Amino acid sequence: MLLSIRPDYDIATRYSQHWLLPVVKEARRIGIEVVDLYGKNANRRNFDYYSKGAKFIVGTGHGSETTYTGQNKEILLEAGVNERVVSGKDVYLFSCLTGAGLIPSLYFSGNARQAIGFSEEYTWLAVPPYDPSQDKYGSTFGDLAAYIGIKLLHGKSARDTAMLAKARADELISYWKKQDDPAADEVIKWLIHDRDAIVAYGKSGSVETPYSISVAPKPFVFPPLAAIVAGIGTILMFC
Amino acid sequence: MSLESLQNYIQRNPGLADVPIVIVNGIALSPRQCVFYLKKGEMVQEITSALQAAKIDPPEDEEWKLLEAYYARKSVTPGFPSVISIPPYIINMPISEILKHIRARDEIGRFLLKSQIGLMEEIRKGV
Repeated sequence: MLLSIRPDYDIATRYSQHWLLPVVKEARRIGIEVVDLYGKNANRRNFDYYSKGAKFIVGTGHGSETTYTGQNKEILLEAGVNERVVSGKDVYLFSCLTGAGLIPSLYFSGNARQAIGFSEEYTWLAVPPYDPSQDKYGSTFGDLAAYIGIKLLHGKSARDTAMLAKARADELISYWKKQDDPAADEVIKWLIHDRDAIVAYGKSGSVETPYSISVAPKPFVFPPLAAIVAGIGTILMFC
Repeated sequence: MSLESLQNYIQRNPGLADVPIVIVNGIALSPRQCVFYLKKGEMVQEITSALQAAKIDPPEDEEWKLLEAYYARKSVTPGFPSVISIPPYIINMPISEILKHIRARDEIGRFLLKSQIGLMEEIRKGV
């Protein structure tokens, strides 16, 4: 079962929830049951209840180094607090900064089977009237966001998904380089930023960014030492 | 770096042709502007040296000026929206206000600078 979490209450979540719709549709297309927590249903009570039966958790919403939030910034996941709810699951948090703390913690604490996210703010160019279905600049960033979720659904490892997503970002960058559009450079700038922020952790290896862990400026919940050692071993195996 | 290679770059990458990447004689120049001056035979040595230096270790103060020049030009570029959002930091902000943050070199300005450097590095390694 895929548990999809799509809060929708401001410009950022208006876009990001829309961008995860292809993941929901793809899951249904390939026969995966979906529980889609949209809008006010993207709350802690529903998250705790439905996450129990999920194999995949794909969620958007505002985040930080230590938290992932749902509707109106209600905390759904917090490093070191309720990580067990993702035990044995594939987790993709399309949420700012979670890759700089929460995502690695979900994996190294021995809970998530694998986890993917972004170590920095996921950032994009959006233009008035801020309709994600009509915004030709914004839709490029939606392509990348959905791509990650769809690859996970198709059984790719977190590491392979991250590498494929970076390659997809490069394809999108190449496309915009060729466009004689007054905002092409602005789109490329944020694609570079987002591409470089993709991080992934799993048994098949990890993908980190140069600044994902080492420069995390805010409090970071460290996993147990044994988990760190095991994690480093995993990373070294695939370097 | 030659005039020909710059011209080829612009032809292949029109989407990046107008991003200011070097400052020469106090003027922020994009790849397209570099070609313009090189074709006229003006500031040839200065542009060549500046492009080479920019690939190695550009001073941060120059990067700030290039960032400011970039958005100042966007504010008068036909077709570029006068108000944009760059979620989650910048929501529904006029370009004129973005320029104020850059001039103040505040948190939003620094956020923009970091990403602009990434963009300029992408262009500099290609020209």
